[in-house]
Amino acid sequence: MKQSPVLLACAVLGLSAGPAFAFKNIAGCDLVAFAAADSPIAIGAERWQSYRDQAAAILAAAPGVDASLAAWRTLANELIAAQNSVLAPERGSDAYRDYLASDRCLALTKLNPGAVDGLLDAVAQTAPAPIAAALQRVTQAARMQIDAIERSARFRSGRDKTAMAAQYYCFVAGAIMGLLPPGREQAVTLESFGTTTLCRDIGRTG
Amino acid sequence: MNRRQFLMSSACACLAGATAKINPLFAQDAAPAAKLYRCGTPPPTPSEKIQANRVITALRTHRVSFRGKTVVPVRFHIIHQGTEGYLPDRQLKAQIALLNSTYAPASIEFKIVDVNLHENDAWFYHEPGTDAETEMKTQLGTNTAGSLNIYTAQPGGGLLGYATFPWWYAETPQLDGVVLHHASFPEAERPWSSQPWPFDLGLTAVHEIGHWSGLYHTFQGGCAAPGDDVTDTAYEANAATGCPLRQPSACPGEARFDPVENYMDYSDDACMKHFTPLQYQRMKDMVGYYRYKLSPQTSRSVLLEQIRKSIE
Repeated sequence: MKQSPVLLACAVLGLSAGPAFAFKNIAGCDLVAFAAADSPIAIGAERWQSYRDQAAAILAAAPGVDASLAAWRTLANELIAAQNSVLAPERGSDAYRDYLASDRCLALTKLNPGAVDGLLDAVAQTAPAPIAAALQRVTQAARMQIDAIERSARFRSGRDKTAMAAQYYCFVAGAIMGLLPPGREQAVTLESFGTTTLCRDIGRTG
Repeated sequence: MNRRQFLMSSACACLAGATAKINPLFAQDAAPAAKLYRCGTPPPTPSEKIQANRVITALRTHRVSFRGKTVVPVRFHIIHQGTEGYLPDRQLKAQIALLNSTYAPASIEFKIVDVNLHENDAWFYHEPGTDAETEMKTQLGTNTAGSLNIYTAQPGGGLLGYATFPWWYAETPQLDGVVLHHASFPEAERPWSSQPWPFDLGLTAVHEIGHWSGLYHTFQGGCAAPGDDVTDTAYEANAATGCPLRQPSACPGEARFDPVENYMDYSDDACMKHFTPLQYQRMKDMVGYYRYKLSPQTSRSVLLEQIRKSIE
Protein backbone atom coordinates (compact mmCIF):
# COMPACT_ATOMS: atom_id res chain seq x y z
CA MET A 1 0.00 0.00 0.00
CA LYS A 2 1.40 3.34 -0.97
CA GLN A 3 1.12 5.84 1.84
CA SER A 4 0.84 9.58 1.71
CA PRO A 5 4.17 11.40 1.81
CA VAL A 6 2.77 13.44 4.64
CA LEU A 7 2.24 10.39 6.78
CA LEU A 8 5.88 9.48 6.62
CA ALA A 9 6.80 13.06 7.38
CA CYS A 10 4.57 12.86 10.44
CA ALA A 11 6.30 9.71 11.56
CA VAL A 12 9.67 11.37 11.30
CA LEU A 13 8.34 14.50 12.94
CA GLY A 14 7.36 12.40 15.88
CA LEU A 15 10.92 11.18 16.12
CA SER A 16 12.46 14.59 15.95
CA ALA A 17 10.26 15.91 18.69
CA GLY A 18 11.91 13.68 21.26
CA PRO A 19 15.45 13.66 22.54
CA ALA A 20 17.28 14.91 19.53
CA PHE A 21 20.29 13.58 17.74
CA ALA A 22 23.39 15.27 16.46
CA PHE A 23 23.71 14.37 12.79
CA LYS A 24 26.72 16.49 12.06
CA ASN A 25 29.66 15.68 9.83
CA ILE A 26 31.20 18.41 7.73
CA ALA A 27 33.55 15.84 6.16
CA GLY A 28 30.54 14.31 4.44
CA CYS A 29 30.93 17.07 1.87
CA ASP A 30 34.51 15.98 1.24
CA LEU A 31 33.24 12.53 0.33
CA VAL A 32 31.13 14.06 -2.40
CA ALA A 33 34.01 16.18 -3.66
CA PHE A 34 36.48 13.28 -3.70
CA ALA A 35 34.12 11.12 -5.74
CA ALA A 36 34.51 13.41 -8.74
CA ALA A 37 36.72 12.21 -11.57
CA ASP A 38 38.85 15.35 -11.43
CA SER A 39 39.15 15.39 -7.65
CA PRO A 40 42.54 16.36 -6.22
CA ILE A 41 42.18 13.44 -3.84
CA ALA A 42 41.11 10.12 -5.25
CA ILE A 43 39.32 7.58 -3.17
CA GLY A 44 40.02 4.24 -4.75
CA ALA A 45 37.26 1.95 -5.94
CA GLU A 46 38.04 -0.50 -3.19
CA ARG A 47 37.54 2.10 -0.46
CA TRP A 48 34.36 3.35 -2.08
CA GLN A 49 33.02 -0.15 -2.13
CA SER A 50 34.00 -0.59 1.48
CA TYR A 51 32.03 2.54 2.38
CA ARG A 52 29.06 1.38 0.35
CA ASP A 53 29.10 -1.98 2.11
CA GLN A 54 29.40 -0.38 5.53
CA ALA A 55 26.61 2.09 4.88
CA ALA A 56 24.33 -0.62 3.52
CA ALA A 57 25.01 -2.86 6.49
CA ILE A 58 24.33 -0.06 8.95
CA LEU A 59 21.09 0.90 7.24
CA ALA A 60 19.99 -2.70 6.89
CA ALA A 61 20.07 -2.94 10.66
CA ALA A 62 18.03 0.25 11.06
CA PRO A 63 15.29 0.33 13.65
CA GLY A 64 11.66 0.52 12.63
CA VAL A 65 9.71 3.74 12.54
CA ASP A 66 8.60 3.23 16.12
CA ALA A 67 12.13 2.65 17.41
CA SER A 68 13.61 4.80 20.12
CA LEU A 69 15.44 7.96 19.28
CA ALA A 70 18.56 6.59 20.85
CA ALA A 71 18.51 3.80 18.28
CA TRP A 72 18.33 6.27 15.38
CA ARG A 73 21.09 8.35 16.87
CA THR A 74 23.27 5.28 17.14
CA LEU A 75 22.63 4.56 13.48
CA ALA A 76 23.57 8.11 12.49
CA ASN A 77 26.73 7.93 14.53
CA GLU A 78 27.67 4.68 12.83
CA LEU A 79 27.20 6.26 9.43
CA ILE A 80 29.39 9.18 10.46
CA ALA A 81 32.07 6.78 11.65
CA ALA A 82 31.92 5.02 8.28
CA GLN A 83 32.20 8.33 6.43
CA ASN A 84 35.22 9.31 8.45
CA SER A 85 36.88 5.93 8.03
CA VAL A 86 36.83 6.39 4.25
CA LEU A 87 38.64 9.67 4.64
CA ALA A 88 40.98 8.57 7.41
CA PRO A 89 43.92 7.63 5.15
CA GLU A 90 43.90 11.15 3.67
CA ARG A 91 43.61 13.05 6.92
CA GLY A 92 46.67 15.09 7.71
CA SER A 93 48.07 14.76 4.22
CA ASP A 94 49.35 17.78 2.37
CA ALA A 95 46.82 17.15 -0.37
CA TYR A 96 43.95 17.26 2.14
CA ARG A 97 45.30 20.42 3.76
CA ASP A 98 45.66 22.06 0.36
CA TYR A 99 42.16 21.02 -0.54
CA LEU A 100 40.70 22.50 2.64
CA ALA A 101 42.38 25.82 1.96
CA SER A 102 41.43 25.89 -1.69
CA ASP A 103 38.44 27.15 -3.64
CA ARG A 104 37.54 23.53 -4.34
CA CYS A 105 36.57 22.95 -0.73
CA LEU A 106 32.85 23.61 -0.50
CA ALA A 107 30.17 23.10 2.10
CA LEU A 108 26.41 22.96 1.75
CA THR A 109 24.49 25.96 3.06
CA LYS A 110 21.09 24.83 1.92
CA LEU A 111 19.57 21.63 0.66
CA ASN A 112 17.33 21.64 -2.36
CA PRO A 113 14.44 19.42 -1.25
CA GLY A 114 13.54 18.40 -4.79
CA ALA A 115 17.14 17.53 -5.63
CA VAL A 116 17.58 15.50 -2.47
CA ASP A 117 14.33 13.66 -3.15
CA GLY A 118 15.59 12.92 -6.65
CA LEU A 119 18.80 11.43 -5.32
CA LEU A 120 16.89 9.40 -2.76
CA ASP A 121 14.70 8.14 -5.58
CA ALA A 122 17.85 7.08 -7.43
CA VAL A 123 18.94 5.15 -4.35
CA ALA A 124 15.53 3.52 -4.11
CA GLN A 125 15.85 2.22 -7.66
CA THR A 126 18.75 -0.04 -6.81
CA ALA A 127 18.97 -0.41 -3.05
CA PRO A 128 16.77 -2.86 -1.18
CA ALA A 129 13.59 -1.12 -0.03
CA PRO A 130 14.32 -1.30 3.73
CA ILE A 131 17.77 0.22 3.20
CA ALA A 132 16.43 3.00 0.99
CA ALA A 133 13.70 3.70 3.52
CA ALA A 134 16.17 3.84 6.39
CA LEU A 135 18.38 6.23 4.44
CA GLN A 136 15.38 8.41 3.72
CA ARG A 137 14.41 8.51 7.36
CA VAL A 138 17.84 9.21 8.78
CA THR A 139 18.50 12.01 6.29
CA GLN A 140 15.06 13.45 6.86
CA ALA A 141 15.62 13.40 10.60
CA ALA A 142 18.90 15.29 10.14
CA ARG A 143 17.18 17.93 8.06
CA MET A 144 14.42 18.31 10.60
CA GLN A 145 16.89 18.56 13.45
CA ILE A 146 18.77 21.48 11.95
CA ASP A 147 15.52 23.03 10.82
CA ALA A 148 14.32 22.99 14.42
CA ILE A 149 17.57 24.55 15.63
CA GLU A 150 17.52 27.25 12.97
CA ARG A 151 13.97 28.19 13.85
CA SER A 152 14.45 28.38 17.59
CA ALA A 153 18.01 29.54 18.18
CA ARG A 154 19.89 32.79 18.23
CA PHE A 155 23.40 32.64 16.82
CA ARG A 156 26.15 35.21 17.17
CA SER A 157 26.06 35.64 13.43
CA GLY A 158 24.57 34.32 10.25
CA ARG A 159 27.95 32.71 9.57
CA ASP A 160 27.74 30.65 12.75
CA LYS A 161 24.26 29.53 11.78
CA THR A 162 25.42 28.60 8.30
CA ALA A 163 28.42 26.73 9.69
CA MET A 164 26.25 24.63 11.95
CA ALA A 165 23.73 23.90 9.21
CA ALA A 166 26.53 22.86 6.86
CA GLN A 167 27.56 20.10 9.24
CA TYR A 168 24.08 18.58 9.10
CA TYR A 169 23.70 18.99 5.34
CA CYS A 170 27.11 17.49 4.68
CA PHE A 171 26.18 14.46 6.77
CA VAL A 172 23.10 14.06 4.58
CA ALA A 173 25.12 14.36 1.37
CA GLY A 174 27.75 11.89 2.55
CA ALA A 175 25.10 9.39 3.60
CA ILE A 176 23.29 9.52 0.27
CA MET A 177 26.58 9.19 -1.63
CA GLY A 178 27.15 5.83 -0.01
CA LEU A 179 23.98 4.34 -1.47
CA LEU A 180 23.84 5.83 -4.94
CA PRO A 181 23.89 3.31 -7.79
CA PRO A 182 27.47 2.28 -8.62
CA GLY A 183 29.15 4.79 -10.91
CA ARG A 184 26.51 7.45 -10.30
CA GLU A 185 28.58 9.12 -7.58
CA GLN A 186 31.06 10.44 -10.13
CA ALA A 187 28.34 12.49 -11.74
CA VAL A 188 27.13 13.98 -8.48
CA THR A 189 28.56 17.19 -7.08
CA LEU A 190 27.70 19.14 -3.97
CA GLU A 191 25.61 21.43 -6.15
CA SER A 192 23.51 18.36 -6.90
CA PHE A 193 22.31 18.58 -3.29
CA GLY A 194 21.81 22.30 -2.91
CA THR A 195 23.55 25.63 -2.41
CA THR A 196 27.22 25.74 -1.47
CA THR A 197 29.77 28.11 -0.03
CA LEU A 198 33.54 28.05 0.26
CA CYS A 199 34.78 26.16 3.30
CA ARG A 200 36.80 29.15 4.45
CA ASP A 201 33.69 31.33 4.38
CA ILE A 202 32.28 29.31 7.25
CA GLY A 203 35.58 29.15 9.06
CA ARG A 204 36.70 25.72 7.88
CA THR A 205 40.31 25.92 6.87
CA GLY A 206 41.86 22.85 8.41
CA MET B 1 -4.33 39.78 -5.98
CA ASN B 2 -0.98 41.15 -4.85
CA ARG B 3 2.15 39.08 -4.51
CA ARG B 4 1.68 38.37 -0.85
CA GLN B 5 -1.87 37.18 -1.40
CA PHE B 6 -0.66 35.04 -4.28
CA LEU B 7 2.08 33.48 -2.20
CA MET B 8 -0.32 32.91 0.66
CA SER B 9 -2.89 31.24 -1.55
CA SER B 10 -0.24 29.00 -3.11
CA ALA B 11 1.04 28.01 0.28
CA CYS B 12 -2.45 27.46 1.61
CA ALA B 13 -3.32 25.23 -1.33
CA CYS B 14 -0.22 23.21 -0.64
CA LEU B 15 -0.90 23.05 3.07
CA ALA B 16 -4.54 22.22 2.58
CA GLY B 17 -3.55 19.24 0.52
CA ALA B 18 -1.22 18.14 3.23
CA THR B 19 -3.69 18.78 6.00
CA ALA B 20 -6.30 16.59 4.47
CA LYS B 21 -3.91 13.69 4.60
CA ILE B 22 -2.53 14.08 8.09
CA ASN B 23 -3.62 11.32 10.38
CA PRO B 24 -1.11 10.36 13.02
CA LEU B 25 -2.84 7.02 13.48
CA PHE B 26 -1.39 5.90 10.18
CA ALA B 27 2.06 7.28 10.77
CA GLN B 28 3.38 3.99 12.06
CA ASP B 29 2.41 2.24 8.85
CA ALA B 30 4.15 4.54 6.42
CA ALA B 31 5.44 2.57 3.45
CA PRO B 32 9.22 2.31 3.43
CA ALA B 33 9.68 3.82 -0.01
CA ALA B 34 7.07 6.54 0.35
CA LYS B 35 8.26 9.94 -0.77
CA LEU B 36 8.33 12.80 1.62
CA TYR B 37 6.35 16.01 1.73
CA ARG B 38 7.37 18.16 -1.24
CA CYS B 39 5.83 21.56 -0.68
CA GLY B 40 9.24 23.21 -0.78
CA THR B 41 9.80 23.57 2.94
CA PRO B 42 10.92 20.97 5.46
CA PRO B 43 8.02 18.93 6.79
CA PRO B 44 7.86 20.16 10.38
CA THR B 45 7.25 23.75 9.44
CA PRO B 46 4.02 23.33 7.50
CA SER B 47 2.46 20.94 9.96
CA GLU B 48 3.39 23.12 12.89
CA LYS B 49 2.06 26.16 11.12
CA ILE B 50 -1.14 24.37 10.23
CA GLN B 51 -1.56 23.57 13.89
CA ALA B 52 -0.73 27.06 15.14
CA ASN B 53 -2.88 28.71 12.51
CA ARG B 54 -5.78 26.43 13.35
CA VAL B 55 -5.44 27.45 16.97
CA ILE B 56 -5.51 31.13 16.12
CA THR B 57 -8.45 30.68 13.75
CA ALA B 58 -10.38 28.73 16.37
CA LEU B 59 -9.66 31.28 19.05
CA ARG B 60 -10.91 34.07 16.80
CA THR B 61 -13.95 32.07 15.69
CA HIS B 62 -14.93 31.43 19.27
CA ARG B 63 -13.97 34.97 20.23
CA VAL B 64 -11.58 33.75 22.85
CA SER B 65 -9.11 36.33 24.05
CA PHE B 66 -6.74 35.88 26.91
CA ARG B 67 -7.14 38.83 29.21
CA GLY B 68 -5.47 39.40 32.50
CA LYS B 69 -1.90 38.94 33.55
CA THR B 70 0.00 35.70 33.13
CA VAL B 71 2.64 35.31 35.80
CA VAL B 72 5.40 32.95 34.71
CA PRO B 73 7.38 31.33 37.53
CA VAL B 74 11.01 31.15 36.41
CA ARG B 75 13.44 28.43 37.50
CA PHE B 76 17.07 29.21 36.78
CA HIS B 77 19.45 26.28 36.39
CA ILE B 78 22.94 27.77 36.36
CA ILE B 79 25.35 25.33 34.76
CA HIS B 80 28.94 26.27 35.44
CA GLN B 81 32.48 25.02 35.14
CA GLY B 82 34.37 26.27 38.15
CA THR B 83 33.74 29.99 38.31
CA GLU B 84 33.02 30.14 34.58
CA GLY B 85 29.33 30.56 33.99
CA TYR B 86 28.43 31.62 37.50
CA LEU B 87 25.70 34.27 37.55
CA PRO B 88 25.04 36.36 40.65
CA ASP B 89 21.52 37.26 41.78
CA ARG B 90 22.09 40.80 40.61
CA GLN B 91 22.33 39.67 36.99
CA LEU B 92 19.37 37.33 37.25
CA LYS B 93 17.24 40.13 38.67
CA ALA B 94 18.39 42.52 35.96
CA GLN B 95 17.43 39.95 33.33
CA ILE B 96 13.99 39.48 34.84
CA ALA B 97 13.47 43.24 35.02
CA LEU B 98 14.28 43.52 31.32
CA LEU B 99 11.90 40.68 30.50
CA ASN B 100 9.13 42.27 32.51
CA SER B 101 9.49 45.58 30.71
CA THR B 102 9.59 44.00 27.25
CA TYR B 103 6.74 41.55 27.83
CA ALA B 104 4.42 43.92 29.70
CA PRO B 105 2.34 44.71 26.57
CA ALA B 106 1.56 40.97 26.33
CA SER B 107 0.52 41.02 30.01
CA ILE B 108 3.20 38.45 30.76
CA GLU B 109 5.20 38.85 33.95
CA PHE B 110 8.18 36.79 35.07
CA LYS B 111 9.00 35.95 38.66
CA ILE B 112 12.00 34.00 39.95
CA VAL B 113 10.93 31.04 42.07
CA ASP B 114 14.08 28.96 42.08
CA VAL B 115 17.79 29.27 41.36
CA ASN B 116 20.13 26.31 41.50
CA LEU B 117 23.75 25.72 40.58
CA HIS B 118 25.22 22.67 38.85
CA GLU B 119 28.83 22.03 37.93
CA ASN B 120 28.94 19.77 34.88
CA ASP B 121 31.36 20.11 31.97
CA ALA B 122 29.25 18.19 29.45
CA TRP B 123 26.18 20.27 30.16
CA PHE B 124 28.16 23.51 30.20
CA TYR B 125 29.41 23.04 26.63
CA HIS B 126 26.44 21.12 25.24
CA GLU B 127 24.69 21.70 21.94
CA PRO B 128 21.03 21.21 21.10
CA GLY B 129 20.10 17.75 19.91
CA THR B 130 22.66 15.91 21.96
CA ASP B 131 22.58 13.48 24.86
CA ALA B 132 23.88 16.23 27.11
CA GLU B 133 20.88 18.44 26.41
CA THR B 134 18.46 15.63 27.12
CA GLU B 135 20.28 14.55 30.24
CA MET B 136 20.53 18.09 31.61
CA LYS B 137 16.89 18.90 31.04
CA THR B 138 15.60 15.54 32.18
CA GLN B 139 17.53 15.75 35.43
CA LEU B 140 16.93 19.41 36.20
CA GLY B 141 13.67 20.45 34.57
CA THR B 142 10.93 21.02 37.10
CA ASN B 143 7.21 21.60 36.57
CA THR B 144 7.69 22.46 32.91
CA ALA B 145 3.95 22.85 32.45
CA GLY B 146 3.62 25.46 35.14
CA SER B 147 6.90 27.33 34.92
CA LEU B 148 9.68 28.45 32.64
CA ASN B 149 12.91 26.52 33.09
CA ILE B 150 15.92 28.59 32.02
CA TYR B 151 19.24 26.80 31.69
CA THR B 152 22.37 28.94 31.49
CA ALA B 153 25.47 27.40 29.96
CA GLN B 154 28.05 28.01 27.26
CA PRO B 155 26.63 26.16 24.27
CA GLY B 156 28.95 25.55 21.35
CA GLY B 157 28.59 26.34 17.67
CA GLY B 158 28.21 30.09 18.09
CA LEU B 159 24.89 29.68 19.84
CA LEU B 160 23.67 32.41 22.12
CA GLY B 161 20.58 30.48 23.08
CA TYR B 162 17.80 28.21 21.91
CA ALA B 163 14.29 27.42 22.99
CA THR B 164 11.37 25.07 22.56
CA PHE B 165 8.14 26.15 20.92
CA PRO B 166 4.91 25.87 22.91
CA TRP B 167 3.43 23.28 20.53
CA TRP B 168 6.39 20.97 21.17
CA TYR B 169 5.40 20.67 24.82
CA ALA B 170 2.86 17.88 24.37
CA GLU B 171 5.42 15.55 22.78
CA THR B 172 8.47 16.36 24.87
CA PRO B 173 7.55 18.09 28.10
CA GLN B 174 10.89 17.19 29.65
CA LEU B 175 12.76 19.24 27.05
CA ASP B 176 10.64 22.36 27.45
CA GLY B 177 12.42 25.58 28.33
CA VAL B 178 15.08 28.01 27.25
CA VAL B 179 18.86 27.67 27.14
CA LEU B 180 20.90 30.87 27.35
CA HIS B 181 24.58 31.63 27.03
CA HIS B 182 25.65 32.85 30.47
CA ALA B 183 27.48 35.81 28.94
CA SER B 184 24.25 37.08 27.40
CA PHE B 185 22.94 38.27 30.75
CA PRO B 186 22.96 41.99 31.48
CA GLU B 187 25.11 43.84 33.99
CA ALA B 188 28.10 41.54 33.88
CA GLU B 189 31.21 42.83 35.56
CA ARG B 190 33.93 42.75 32.95
CA PRO B 191 37.61 43.54 33.30
CA TRP B 192 38.33 46.94 31.78
CA SER B 193 40.60 45.26 29.26
CA SER B 194 38.00 42.85 27.92
CA GLN B 195 36.64 43.16 24.42
CA PRO B 196 33.13 44.56 24.12
CA TRP B 197 30.59 41.87 23.34
CA PRO B 198 27.48 42.92 21.44
CA PHE B 199 25.23 40.32 23.03
CA ASP B 200 25.47 41.13 26.75
CA LEU B 201 22.46 43.33 27.35
CA GLY B 202 20.01 40.52 28.03
CA LEU B 203 18.25 40.50 24.65
CA THR B 204 18.98 36.83 23.99
CA ALA B 205 16.53 35.95 26.76
CA VAL B 206 13.95 38.30 25.25
CA HIS B 207 14.48 36.67 21.85
CA GLU B 208 14.39 33.07 23.09
CA ILE B 209 11.36 33.57 25.29
CA GLY B 210 9.73 34.97 22.16
CA HIS B 211 10.22 31.51 20.63
CA TRP B 212 9.05 29.84 23.83
CA SER B 213 5.91 31.98 23.50
CA GLY B 214 5.30 30.97 19.89
CA LEU B 215 7.16 33.48 17.72
CA TYR B 216 9.36 32.66 14.74
CA HIS B 217 12.31 34.69 13.51
CA THR B 218 11.32 37.67 11.41
CA PHE B 219 13.37 36.13 8.58
CA GLN B 220 11.63 32.75 8.85
CA GLY B 221 11.09 31.45 5.35
CA GLY B 222 12.89 34.42 3.79
CA CYS B 223 10.66 36.05 1.21
CA ALA B 224 8.30 33.11 0.97
CA ALA B 225 4.82 33.15 2.45
CA PRO B 226 3.75 32.88 5.17
CA GLY B 227 7.07 34.10 6.60
CA ASP B 228 6.88 34.36 10.35
CA ASP B 229 3.07 34.07 10.40
CA VAL B 230 2.79 37.61 11.74
CA THR B 231 1.42 40.10 9.25
CA ASP B 232 2.81 43.29 10.75
CA THR B 233 6.44 42.26 10.28
CA ALA B 234 7.87 42.66 6.80
CA TYR B 235 9.16 39.71 4.84
CA GLU B 236 12.91 39.60 5.36
CA ALA B 237 15.26 37.78 2.99
CA ASN B 238 18.04 37.12 5.51
CA ALA B 239 18.88 37.57 9.16
CA ALA B 240 20.31 40.93 10.15
CA THR B 241 23.79 41.14 11.63
CA GLY B 242 25.45 43.86 13.66
CA CYS B 243 23.54 47.12 13.80
CA PRO B 244 22.21 47.55 10.29
CA LEU B 245 20.56 50.71 9.06
CA ARG B 246 16.88 50.40 8.34
CA GLN B 247 16.36 49.80 4.69
CA PRO B 248 13.62 48.53 2.43
CA SER B 249 13.12 44.80 2.39
CA ALA B 250 14.92 42.97 -0.38
CA CYS B 251 11.88 40.78 -0.91
CA PRO B 252 10.00 41.37 -4.17
CA GLY B 253 6.63 42.96 -3.57
CA GLU B 254 7.46 43.89 0.03
CA ALA B 255 7.23 47.66 0.41
CA ARG B 256 8.08 47.79 4.10
CA PHE B 257 11.46 48.02 5.79
CA ASP B 258 13.40 45.01 7.05
CA PRO B 259 12.49 44.49 10.73
CA VAL B 260 16.10 44.80 11.86
CA GLU B 261 15.13 46.34 15.21
CA ASN B 262 12.73 43.55 16.05
CA TYR B 263 13.60 41.32 18.99
CA MET B 264 13.14 38.28 16.76
CA ASP B 265 15.85 39.28 14.29
CA TYR B 266 19.61 38.68 14.77
CA SER B 267 20.84 42.26 15.27
CA ASP B 268 23.17 43.12 18.13
CA ASP B 269 21.53 43.57 21.52
CA ALA B 270 21.89 47.34 21.45
CA CYS B 271 19.92 47.52 18.22
CA MET B 272 16.98 45.34 19.20
CA LYS B 273 14.12 47.61 20.14
CA HIS B 274 10.65 46.10 19.96
CA PHE B 275 8.04 43.47 19.25
CA THR B 276 5.12 44.40 17.00
CA PRO B 277 1.50 44.53 18.21
CA LEU B 278 0.64 41.32 16.36
CA GLN B 279 3.68 39.56 17.80
CA TYR B 280 2.38 40.46 21.26
CA GLN B 281 -1.06 39.19 20.24
CA ARG B 282 0.36 35.92 18.93
CA MET B 283 2.31 35.39 22.14
CA LYS B 284 -0.80 35.96 24.24
CA ASP B 285 -2.71 33.46 22.11
CA MET B 286 0.02 30.83 22.05
CA VAL B 287 0.84 31.07 25.74
CA GLY B 288 -2.85 31.19 26.64
CA TYR B 289 -3.64 28.14 24.55
CA TYR B 290 -0.58 25.91 24.80
CA ARG B 291 0.78 27.01 28.16
CA TYR B 292 -2.60 27.26 29.82
CA LYS B 293 -1.35 25.84 33.08
CA LEU B 294 0.54 29.07 33.65
CA SER B 295 -2.70 30.95 34.09
CA PRO B 296 -5.69 28.64 34.21
CA GLN B 297 -8.83 30.51 33.31
CA THR B 298 -11.44 28.18 34.65
CA SER B 299 -14.31 30.12 33.13
CA ARG B 300 -12.94 29.31 29.69
CA SER B 301 -11.55 25.89 30.35
CA VAL B 302 -14.54 24.03 28.91
CA LEU B 303 -14.48 26.08 25.73
CA LEU B 304 -10.73 25.70 25.36
CA GLU B 305 -11.02 21.97 25.85
CA GLN B 306 -13.60 21.83 23.08
CA ILE B 307 -11.31 23.80 20.79
CA ARG B 308 -8.43 21.52 21.70
CA LYS B 309 -10.42 18.44 20.79
CA SER B 310 -11.62 19.94 17.52
CA ILE B 311 -8.07 20.82 16.50
CA GLU B 312 -6.11 17.86 17.70
